[in-house]
Amino acid sequence: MAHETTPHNEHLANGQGHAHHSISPATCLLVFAALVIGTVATVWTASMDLGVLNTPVALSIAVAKATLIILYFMHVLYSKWLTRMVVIGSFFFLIVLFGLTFADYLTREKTPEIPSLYSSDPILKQQ
Amino acid sequence: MIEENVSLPRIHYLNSHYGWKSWLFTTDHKRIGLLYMISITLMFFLGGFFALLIRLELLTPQADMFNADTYNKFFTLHGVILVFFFLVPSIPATLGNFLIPLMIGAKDVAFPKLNLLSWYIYAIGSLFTLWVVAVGGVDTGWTFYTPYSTTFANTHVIAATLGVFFTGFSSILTGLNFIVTIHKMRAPGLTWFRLPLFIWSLYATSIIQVLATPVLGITMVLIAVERFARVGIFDPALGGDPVLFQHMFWFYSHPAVYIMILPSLGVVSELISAFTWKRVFGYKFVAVSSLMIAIFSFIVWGHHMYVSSMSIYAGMLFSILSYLVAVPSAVKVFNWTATLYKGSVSYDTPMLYALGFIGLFTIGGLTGLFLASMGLDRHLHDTYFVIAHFHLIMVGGAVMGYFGGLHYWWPKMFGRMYPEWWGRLSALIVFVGFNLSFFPQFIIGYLGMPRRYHVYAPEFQVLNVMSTAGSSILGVGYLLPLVYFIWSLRYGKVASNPWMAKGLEWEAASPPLPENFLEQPVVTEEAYNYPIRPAQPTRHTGRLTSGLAQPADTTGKGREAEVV
Repeated sequence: MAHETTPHNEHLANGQGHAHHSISPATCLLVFAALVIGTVATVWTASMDLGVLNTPVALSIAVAKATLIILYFMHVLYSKWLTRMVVIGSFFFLIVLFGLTFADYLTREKTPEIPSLYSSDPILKQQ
Repeated sequence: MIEENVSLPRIHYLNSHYGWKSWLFTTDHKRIGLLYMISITLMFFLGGFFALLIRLELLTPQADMFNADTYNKFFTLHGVILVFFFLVPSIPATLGNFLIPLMIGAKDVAFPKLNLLSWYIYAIGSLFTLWVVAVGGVDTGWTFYTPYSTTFANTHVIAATLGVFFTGFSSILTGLNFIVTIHKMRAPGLTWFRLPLFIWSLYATSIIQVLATPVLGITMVLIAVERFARVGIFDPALGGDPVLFQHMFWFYSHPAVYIMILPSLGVVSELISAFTWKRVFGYKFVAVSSLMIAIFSFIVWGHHMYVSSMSIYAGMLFSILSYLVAVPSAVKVFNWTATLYKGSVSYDTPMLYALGFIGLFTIGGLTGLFLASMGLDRHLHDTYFVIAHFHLIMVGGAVMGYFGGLHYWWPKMFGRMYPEWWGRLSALIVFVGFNLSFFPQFIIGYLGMPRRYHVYAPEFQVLNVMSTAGSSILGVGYLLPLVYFIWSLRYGKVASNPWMAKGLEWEAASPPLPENFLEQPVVTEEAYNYPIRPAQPTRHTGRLTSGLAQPADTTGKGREAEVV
């Protein structure tokens, strides 16, 4: 692989650094308030019987809180596309883990009963 | 291979600092690579020792040497040590650590201290495992399946899983480091499609390491939580499900197969190109196929679980998805073969390993399709057919690739050549020994001999004797390189680039300088842009007596001029 040469430090100075975005205190407080409300909502809904909605409601609140933390406190909202892609990619593979595992759990009951070899084969049945 | 008339650079990474502290506190990626190499070599021979004990016991149908419990412990330790402490870190942590910065024109990896930390974490995990070996072993099998590892565990399961847990973090840190390094530290001009295919394969491997390994860590913790806190996760008596363990375990461990094999695929791409003196046929397809393999590896784990009581609908889904992996794998094999066509092929030791790899990987992959088929797997599951299949991938594939890479880059790492004749002999012995070990296992597995038993039906003895004889030959084949590599460190002929290979790593001194390159290289062409090979290369009068990296010629005229 052919190459020319440039001083090392010149390359390191180019594009190696990155600026940090700072979130205003007001935004931080707003997100914090939303998280507190979310926590109260979690406790409140846990004390209620919502029937089949129990789990979906609890998970929805948890996802909303996690999203706020990821976007604001982990600075993903202000990050480059590559960082966002890493986050989205990670969630994609988490969905793969849950999705394909549930492909098993949600269809186990539907597995048809395999007829007994002995009951269907007259020769084997005699034996 | 060509004869070179070169001398070692005056200062290089091996002699720039002295003393044990200069090694144990180093942040130089090359020295960390060597720390890993020494560690995994120890684990390789320890795990191999257990393999030989297993094969000795299987020489006769009766239990001659060990009882069932001891046998269970031996095959478990064989698997745990060789999978988690040798195969997973083998190429990425040794060759990858050493070569990635050199191949992309960087001074080091992105996080050198994290790199050293990963070795220490690996060492802690290894010590846990060695402690388990010393105090009585573990008998669950390397898969730690529940309920063996929970309800019925009577050996050192927690210590063994902790060892695996620790080494998992080491793997994550290595993967993270490589991803950032490859993204952020490539030399100017080194675009994605100019990267060597070894880098592509390690990039794909790193993605798996970062995404899948945490799930293994969580699973190991959950075992401990259930055993200590009696929380119902895997135990039905507590409201858990043992099959959930298999889902979580294989979500990591199937992609982990690709953590082991993908780097080898990258090594073989490098070897095929260097020893045919040609650009790899369909470079972009080979590069992208690494990523495809990494992605597909996450969606096929259920093919390990067809007989576990998993829903047949999920089984059908996993069966279809499993066939997908064959496509990018076949792309690689076909493209390597096409590269050989009209290539200027030379049969040096690394190439012998590469050619052996292609054959064994192909057979290993095709027999994997048998096992991905739900119906056939009913018959073959947990038989020696499965053992033969995955050893063809993990040993015939991953280990052959590692040895091929080790021989290829040895002169780069140490500036000295191993004895080529002995190298070729060892490659031949490994190939013969390997085939004699594992081909009989396909047959006895197909005939119905189950894995993990120390006694078996007498009609299987002839094939088992062949297999045991093969494993002894294989052991000799692995010991030979250990001897001649150590010998070559002192007595080997000084070498710089005996293969006349292309790539940034070969532009650096051999052994490389502590900072790799004195000046930042700028890349102006793609990898593997080989010129027409000189007619009869006999002697290389080359360069690099001062340790200075020199720019390569793009036309090949300069290289031809070096050959007398």
